[in-house]
Amino acid sequence: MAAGLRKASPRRGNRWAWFVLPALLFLAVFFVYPLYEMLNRSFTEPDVGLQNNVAFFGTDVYVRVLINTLRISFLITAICMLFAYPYAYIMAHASRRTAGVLLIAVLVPFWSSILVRTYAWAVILQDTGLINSLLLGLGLVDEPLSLVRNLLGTVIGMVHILMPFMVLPIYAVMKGIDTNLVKAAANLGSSPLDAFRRVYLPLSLPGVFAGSLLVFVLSLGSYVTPAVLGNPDQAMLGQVIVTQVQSLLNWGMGAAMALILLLVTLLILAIAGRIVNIGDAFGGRTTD
Amino acid sequence: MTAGPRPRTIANKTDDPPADPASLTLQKVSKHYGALRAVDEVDLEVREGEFVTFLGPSGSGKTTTLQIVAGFTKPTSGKVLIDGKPVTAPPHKRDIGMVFQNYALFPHMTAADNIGYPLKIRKASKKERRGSIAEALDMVGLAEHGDRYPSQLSGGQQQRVALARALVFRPRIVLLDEPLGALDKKLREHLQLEIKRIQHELGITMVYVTHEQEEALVMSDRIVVFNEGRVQQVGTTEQIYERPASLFVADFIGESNIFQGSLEDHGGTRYLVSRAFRFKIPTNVSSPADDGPLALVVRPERLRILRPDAHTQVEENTVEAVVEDVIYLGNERRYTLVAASGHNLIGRHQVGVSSGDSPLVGTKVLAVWHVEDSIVVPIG
Ligand SMILES: Nc1ncnc2c1ncn2[C@@H]1O[C@H](COP(=O)(O)OP(=O)(O)OP(=O)(O)O)[C@@H](O)[C@H]1O
Ligand SMILES: [Mg+2]
Repeated sequence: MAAGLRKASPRRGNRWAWFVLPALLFLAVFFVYPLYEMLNRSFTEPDVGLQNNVAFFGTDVYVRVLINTLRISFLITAICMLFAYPYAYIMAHASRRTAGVLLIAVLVPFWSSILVRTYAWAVILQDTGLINSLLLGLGLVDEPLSLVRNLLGTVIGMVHILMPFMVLPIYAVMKGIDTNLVKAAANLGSSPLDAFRRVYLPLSLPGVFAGSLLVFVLSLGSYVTPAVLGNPDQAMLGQVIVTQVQSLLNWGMGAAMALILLLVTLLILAIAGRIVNIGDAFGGRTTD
Repeated sequence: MTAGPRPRTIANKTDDPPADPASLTLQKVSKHYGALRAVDEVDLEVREGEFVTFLGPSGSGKTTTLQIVAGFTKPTSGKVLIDGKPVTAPPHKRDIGMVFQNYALFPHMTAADNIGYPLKIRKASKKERRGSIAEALDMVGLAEHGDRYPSQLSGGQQQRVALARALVFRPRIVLLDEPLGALDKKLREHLQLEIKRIQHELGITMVYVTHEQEEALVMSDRIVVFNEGRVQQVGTTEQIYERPASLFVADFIGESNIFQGSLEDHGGTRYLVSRAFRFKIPTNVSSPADDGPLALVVRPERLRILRPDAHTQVEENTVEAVVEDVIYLGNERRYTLVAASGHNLIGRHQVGVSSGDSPLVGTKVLAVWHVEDSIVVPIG
């Protein structure tokens, strides 16, 4: 909104700019070069040409995997959002102590290996796992619920892992909302619910948007969690890529799939960028 | 302000109670944050259609008091009454307009939408809304800026949008928390008149917060002087200026020459005495109950500055002093004097009114004032 007002300041030489050089070098060696290698392979292995991409879109199963990946990612994002919004709200409006505890609770998954976490979930969710033994023991169910090796398993595992990526941007944006704004809305006649709907919610949306983008993009590339907790017949693209490369040694196809995943991700970011300023969404906004 | 003898009392904290029905009443309202008494036993009655100003230094509890009235802060103790009835309604049912100290404009809405917000909530038709918004924008001189977002407006413009938003739905009581703080003198004066006009036209009860004493003097029917959460004095502009209830009020409102001493009686004539001076004080000053120290306050415009050999009356107090500085302010001259006793004195004389030549810097003079122009107040 304010973008039109921002004056294009003449870009003076910034001597601190040199400090990004190491980071750029790192990215060039460890990101751009492998990316180039992959791009190269997708068009050169086994033969030079577009045959890998043609094969991908010509194969029903692969297209279904892509759609499935998008669908699951969307579901994960939506569920994350549903849990994260109230969580972030409580965090943003609680006392410092409570907020600290809540922050640590949401960050815990960051501090343990993804494999450990995922297998822990498998143990908890399996037929003879903690939850099912408890339910059976209490006589609430007659036979174990299938909580794992299906979509539910993937979603539980992924939501747990990706929660911080949704909570933190929403929390950051909520923290920046002037508490007087909701008071002002009340003063002008809005009931608490109305004030939330007309003032607080719209102002917190950039955080929701940023979080959703992160979670969605991260879900698209997920591999470990769906492989361990998901339904093997409903694989996500990440799993299929691994199969291509590791089991079938079909590097060309694997690279082509990775490239397609990358393009889908970029497309989503581009669309998102048209809707809002991504810099704003990730906290570049200054409210004064 | 008229010269001449006036009845004086010490510590006349409660001025004449309002005759009209009270629109807003505070009864022993307190707000404590831990050990801090942000608002301490505030009693106040505001009449219907009255313009009352809260004046006080930063942190004296002005905003907190407004927030209690608006319903955003729950008082630790005490009651708020509107039209004589205790209010317990949540903020959105109080029908009190408020201009927040930091404007609190909705950043995702244009100026026009901000102003239209209370009308929308009250389900006004689109046409009605558009008319009221245009009128309100016009009133604050922002007719051209309706479609701007708050981030595209200057501080002063934002403040004016906030003002328009608080008035557009015609609430009965409007609370304004330093609504003109960010404006330049000319715009400020224009809007002061505008606010007064609207208030008068619509018969709105207004409570206005400022730490600009001149603004308070210009706008208010009555002024409430706050300090450290307590009401120091309530009164009309003139009462506050001419008959301050405490040294704090005398010192905070307007410029003052202050002498501290204790009361002595010599053959029916009473004096305020310290090691450095002995001044006659008006006969109708009543003695403080606790015999505590007093302060004598003389307003700068009551201080005459004469040649050292000038003839003075019995009914005058005199101080020998040296002129330290003379500042020419266009309509008046402002003198800074240093008395032999070490006191710094200020005198203000209208240019063209005072007779004689203006004394030069460094010369010896006699600072003189009439006994009846002495204001005697308790210290503390
Ligand atoms: N939520 C709060 N928690 C703790 N202390 C507070 C809180 N709100 C206000 N205070 C304290 O209460 C006192 C009164 O604050 P208040 O905002 O009412 O002052 P004010 O008269 O409006 O000052 P200013 O002219 O600077 O706006 C201050 O000392 C302030 O620090
Ligand atoms: Mg304040």
